[in-house]
Amino acid sequence: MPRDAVVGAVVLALAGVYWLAARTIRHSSLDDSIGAAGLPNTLAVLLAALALLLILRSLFSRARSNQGAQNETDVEAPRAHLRALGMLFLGVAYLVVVPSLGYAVSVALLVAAVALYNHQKPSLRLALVTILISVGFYLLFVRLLRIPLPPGIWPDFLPA
Amino acid sequence: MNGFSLAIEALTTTPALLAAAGGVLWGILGGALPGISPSIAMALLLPFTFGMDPIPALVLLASTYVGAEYGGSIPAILIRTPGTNAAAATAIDGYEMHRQGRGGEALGISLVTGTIGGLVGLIFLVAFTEALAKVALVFTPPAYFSLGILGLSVIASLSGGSLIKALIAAVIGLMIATVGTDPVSGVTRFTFGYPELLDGVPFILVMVGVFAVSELFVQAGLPEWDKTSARNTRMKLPSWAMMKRTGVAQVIGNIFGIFEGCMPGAGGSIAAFMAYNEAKRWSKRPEEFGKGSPEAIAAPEAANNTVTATALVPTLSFGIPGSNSTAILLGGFLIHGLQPGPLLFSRHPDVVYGLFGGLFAANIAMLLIGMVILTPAIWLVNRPKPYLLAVIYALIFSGIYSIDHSLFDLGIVLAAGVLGYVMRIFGFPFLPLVLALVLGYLIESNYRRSLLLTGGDHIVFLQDPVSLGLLIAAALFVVGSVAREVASARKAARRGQVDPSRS
Repeated sequence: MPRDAVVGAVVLALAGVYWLAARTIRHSSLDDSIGAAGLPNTLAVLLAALALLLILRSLFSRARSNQGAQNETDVEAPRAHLRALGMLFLGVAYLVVVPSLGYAVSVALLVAAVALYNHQKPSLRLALVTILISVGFYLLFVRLLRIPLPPGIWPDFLPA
Repeated sequence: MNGFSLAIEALTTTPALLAAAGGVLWGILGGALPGISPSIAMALLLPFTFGMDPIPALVLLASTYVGAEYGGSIPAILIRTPGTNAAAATAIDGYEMHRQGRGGEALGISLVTGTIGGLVGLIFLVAFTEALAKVALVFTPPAYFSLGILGLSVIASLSGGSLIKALIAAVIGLMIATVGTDPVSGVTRFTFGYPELLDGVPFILVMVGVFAVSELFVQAGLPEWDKTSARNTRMKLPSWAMMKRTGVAQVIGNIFGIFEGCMPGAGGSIAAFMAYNEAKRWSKRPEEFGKGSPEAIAAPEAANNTVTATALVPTLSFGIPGSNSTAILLGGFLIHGLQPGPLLFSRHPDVVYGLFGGLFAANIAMLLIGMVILTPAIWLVNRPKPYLLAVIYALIFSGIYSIDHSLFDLGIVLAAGVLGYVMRIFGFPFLPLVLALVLGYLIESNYRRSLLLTGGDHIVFLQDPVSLGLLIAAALFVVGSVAREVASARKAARRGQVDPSRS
């Protein structure tokens, strides 16, 4: 099955989910003739129509030129997608640990993890660079810009 | 107070000068890193502009754009890897000159012709946007709705080869724009019980996610970029004789920069390549093109730096960003409660002229900083990629958190990053999504306000002359783009018949 047809099917499913969600929008006594659900319903139908067009064009197009490939970067290999997934995982992990470990420790872990994940070999230099970068970020955001970044559990261990 | 006085006042009473210098510095360094486009360099700064005053914030973003276009030429010339798309044309002859031991000369030509290009573009920007702004007072809600439709019609020319995919991206952008509180009735839509979504999905989060985070995901799967051994390359500014030799190429670059900058969807890359081709046609030494011709550097560099100013014409006059970079700048305006468009000049002339003044300062700063930044830029390009990716990831998370002190926002940025990555894989252009997201509220609110005023009668959009004119322009834009798409599809089909191996 052509790739665009599969993409079209996914977009069609997205249109369906969005339409179902749009049906849950409440009516209000302040509604105008269009209503709060007016635009979402229209968009769902429009997206479904475009998805069908994409599927049809993909199935019936005889010329499989490289149209639309301009933005298809060289991230085609499954390995590249797995690498991207790993980066996403590191980002999610940061979100999970930052409330408890606090900003300073979490950002240091993030820097080290991202560097290691991207083939930086474990070394004393990596440790020093990680500390340098995280201290720099801490000074910039917490001390200089006075952003109240999450302190984590550490203040609980400090004497009152 | 006239525009000139407002610009001087902005430069002398606000940190705009500092912002111009800082933006250029950041832009050059960001542009010099392969993979960090001007829009990504700007997106990374966007969260930091949140707490700033509007003028320095906008000057910072616009100056980053200016600096990044020059910064992109540094790796283009030294390692034949354009830091930005627009610098691809510069790489052809720039790298050849570097191989001949004339890398410093190539960088000097790039810097000076780029600076002149930026200043010429700025003159055009000031003259043209002022004239366009005079139509401000005739804009009504129906006209604003039609202006939004005209903005969306631009999507047809931003399709990058697939109109259907561009339209799908736009509809998804509009869908994201519907999240939050309905502009008329106050009913909540698609918030799923999260109070953080009541005000909608902030476009800054989507922009940073789609542009910057998705680039990080992509870079994780790519090999290390090339390094340069040219650590001792010294900048050599062009002599008067060289300036005379590259004069025609400079003018050609300026002309294409002005023309393409004003056309939504065209941008610096197209301007640079068109200028390169025309400069070759008009050159007295066309045989040198491709072998290290100074004119072949002057033309594209003049063109893409002219675009940094002229691309602001549709953005400031109509609120329609024609490129990723101007979309980020538009985001900068909206963050500060400023709506670019017809009323911007009459309501906030201080901001507009402050930005113009800042752009002038940025171009001068580019010349000065460009002369001394070469060694640090080469040092940065030679840093291990894993550290750079780690710093950028940490910068995104820290910057986004500092806007609203919300971890929820970080989740949205990651989700937008996934969306951007998926769009890249399947060939969906970004700009229609961003454009629709930015214009979604304007279109829906003015459409429904207009109908409230007329009791639901749609004829109001055709009775208002400005609205009618804008709708006709939008229709022409769409018809022209669809015709081009059909012609291109037929051409491709014919090619497929001739060469079955391609299918």
